[in-house]
Amino acid sequence: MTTAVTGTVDESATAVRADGLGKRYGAKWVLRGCAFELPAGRVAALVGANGAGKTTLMSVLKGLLNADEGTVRTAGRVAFVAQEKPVYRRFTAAEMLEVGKRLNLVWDQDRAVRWLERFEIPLTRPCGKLSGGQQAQVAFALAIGARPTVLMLDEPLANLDPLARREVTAELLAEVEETGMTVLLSTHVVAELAGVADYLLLLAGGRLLAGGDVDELLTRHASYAGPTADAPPVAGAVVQARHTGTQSTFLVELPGGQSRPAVAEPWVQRPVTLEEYVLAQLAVTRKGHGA
Amino acid sequence: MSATTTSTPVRRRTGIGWGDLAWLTWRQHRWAVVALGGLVVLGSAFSLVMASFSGQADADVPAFFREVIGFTATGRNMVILSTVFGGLVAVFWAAPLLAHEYEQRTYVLAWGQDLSPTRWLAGKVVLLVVPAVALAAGLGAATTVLLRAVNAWVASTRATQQVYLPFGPFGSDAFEAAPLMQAGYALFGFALGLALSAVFRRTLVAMAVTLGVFTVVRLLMANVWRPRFWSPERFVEPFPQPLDELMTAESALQDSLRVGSGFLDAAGNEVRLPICSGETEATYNQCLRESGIVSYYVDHHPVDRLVPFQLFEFALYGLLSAGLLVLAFGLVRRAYRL
Repeated sequence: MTTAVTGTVDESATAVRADGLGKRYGAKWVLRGCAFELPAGRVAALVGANGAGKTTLMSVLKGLLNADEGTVRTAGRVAFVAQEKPVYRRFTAAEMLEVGKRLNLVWDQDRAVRWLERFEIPLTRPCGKLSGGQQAQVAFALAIGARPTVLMLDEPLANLDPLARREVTAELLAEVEETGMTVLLSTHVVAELAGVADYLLLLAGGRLLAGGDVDELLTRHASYAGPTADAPPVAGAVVQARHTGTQSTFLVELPGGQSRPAVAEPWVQRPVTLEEYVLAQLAVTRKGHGA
Repeated sequence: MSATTTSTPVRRRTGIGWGDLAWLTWRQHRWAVVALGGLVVLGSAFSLVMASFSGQADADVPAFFREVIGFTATGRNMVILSTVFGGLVAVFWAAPLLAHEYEQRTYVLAWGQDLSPTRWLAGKVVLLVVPAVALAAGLGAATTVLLRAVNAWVASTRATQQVYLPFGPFGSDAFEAAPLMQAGYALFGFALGLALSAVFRRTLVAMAVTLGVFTVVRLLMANVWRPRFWSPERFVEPFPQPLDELMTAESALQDSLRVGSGFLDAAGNEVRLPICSGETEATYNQCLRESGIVSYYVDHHPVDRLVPFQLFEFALYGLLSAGLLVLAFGLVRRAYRL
C-alpha cells in the first residue's frame, strides 16, 4: 500500500500526487487526465455528481484498482473506508479492531477504542446487529486506529444522522489536528463541506474540473447581481450566468491577484460560498460549457 | 474531547506474521473447520475401534458393535464419508472464501490494510489446505484400515477357498480411500472451490458450481480415464470350456481392474457373440465353434499396477490443483495490484 515517493515530491509537503491518471472499464473511460497535488495535513473534499468517478479515483489512489494510465504517489500509509463501510457481520466491534491490529504494521488501539467509546458503540455486539451508522463508526475506528498518513473516506457521512454527521466531522478534524494526517473525503452533499474541507477537488465526467485551496478559490470568485445584462460589471471569466425576470446574476472568476472590485449601483457584489461555487461548477458541466 | 493523551504506545512493526493470518483464518472459518474436522475425527476413531474387533471371535465383539453398528455398514459409511470429503472441503471451505468477501464487499476491508491481497490469500490457502489435506489423509488411513479389516473378517467367516471380498484393491471404494488419493481429492476440491469462488464472486453460485464440477470430474476420472491410464493386459482362456473351470481360471484376476472382455477367433480377432439357441450345452458350444470362437479374453490392469495408478491419478489432480490455484491468484491479482 505504500508507494515510494521519489525525490521530485517533497514528502513533507505533498500527501497525494496524481499525474495524468486514467481508468477505464472496457472502452469507457471513467477517469481521464486527472492531475493534482494534495498538500499534507489538509482536509480535502472530493466533490462531484453521482457517477463522476469519485469512488474510482479513490480506489485507484488507494491502490485497490490499477490505473490504466498515469501515476499516483502517496506519502506513507493510506487507509480507505469504502462507501459501504464494510465490516465482518459476525465479528464484534472489538474483534474488528483486532483485525486492524493484526493486519496493520502500525496500530493505535487506544485511538480506535476511543473513537468507538465516543460514539457509544458496544464493543461486544456482532457488527451484523449494529445499525448502519454504528457499522460506519466501526469502519472509521479501524481506519483511525491504523494511524494512516492519508485517510480516504468515500461518502463518510452518507448513513449517519445529522447530529452524528456533525460529531464525526468534528472528531475527524480533531484527529487531523492531533496526528497531522491528510484526509480526502468524497461527497455529493455539498452543504456538508462548509467549515470541514479546506481543499477542494471537483470531479465531473471523470475529469478534474477545479481544485485547490478553498479560501483561495473563494477569494478568486465573486457574485454580482443586478439588472438584466449580457455581461457582469467587472472584468473576469464568467463561471455561471443566471437570468431570472429582470435580474441577472454572474459568478465571476476574477483576474489573478485582484481583490473583489466594488461596483456601482444597481449592481450588488458579494462573496461566494463554497456551496455556491461547487454547485455553479457542477451546473456548468451538466449543461455543457456553452451555457 | 479528542485531545486526550495516549496511554498505551502505538504499536509499530515491520511485518504481518502467520500468527495474525492464523487468527483471522480461524476466526472466519472456525465453524466450517470444527464441523468437518469433528466429523472426520469421530468417523476415523470409530473405524479404528471397529477394525480392532476384526481379529476377534464373534462372541468377543461387544453386541453393540456387532449387531447395532455392523462391520460392513461401518465400512460403507466410511467409504461414503471419504468419497464426499473432498467435495465438502470444496463446497464449504473454499467456495465461500473469496465469494463471500466480494458479496459483502469486505474484500475492500481485508485488502485495504497493510498486506497485499495475494499475501492474504496465500495465508488463507496454506492455513486451510494443510488441515484439509491432513484430515483427508487421516480419514483415508482410518478408512483403509477398516476396509482391510472388513475384508479379513469376511474372508474368515466364509469356508470356501474363493471369496469375493467386498472391498477389492482396485474397487473404487478401496482405491479412493487410500490416504494419498484422499489428500489429492481434498487438495483438488479446495483449489477448484477457490478458483470458482474468484470467478463467480457469488457464494451460492460458487458452491453449487463447485459441487457440480467436482462430482463430474471425479466421476469422469474414476470411470472414464482411470481404466485408460495405461493399455490393459489381456488374459485369454480357451473357449468354450466348462463354466466352473473358466471361473477358477478367471479368479486369478480377482484383484485386477477389469476393463473389458469378449471372444476371439483363431486369428486373435475380437468376435461378437453370435445368437445361439442351443438346446443342450453341446449344441450351444457347437454353435459358438461354428462362428469361429476359440477363446475368451479379459482386458485388465493387474493388481501390481495399483500404486502406479494411484500415483498417476494423484499427479493428475495435483496438476489440476496447481492450475486452479494459479487461476485464483491471477484473478485476485488482476484487478488489484500488489
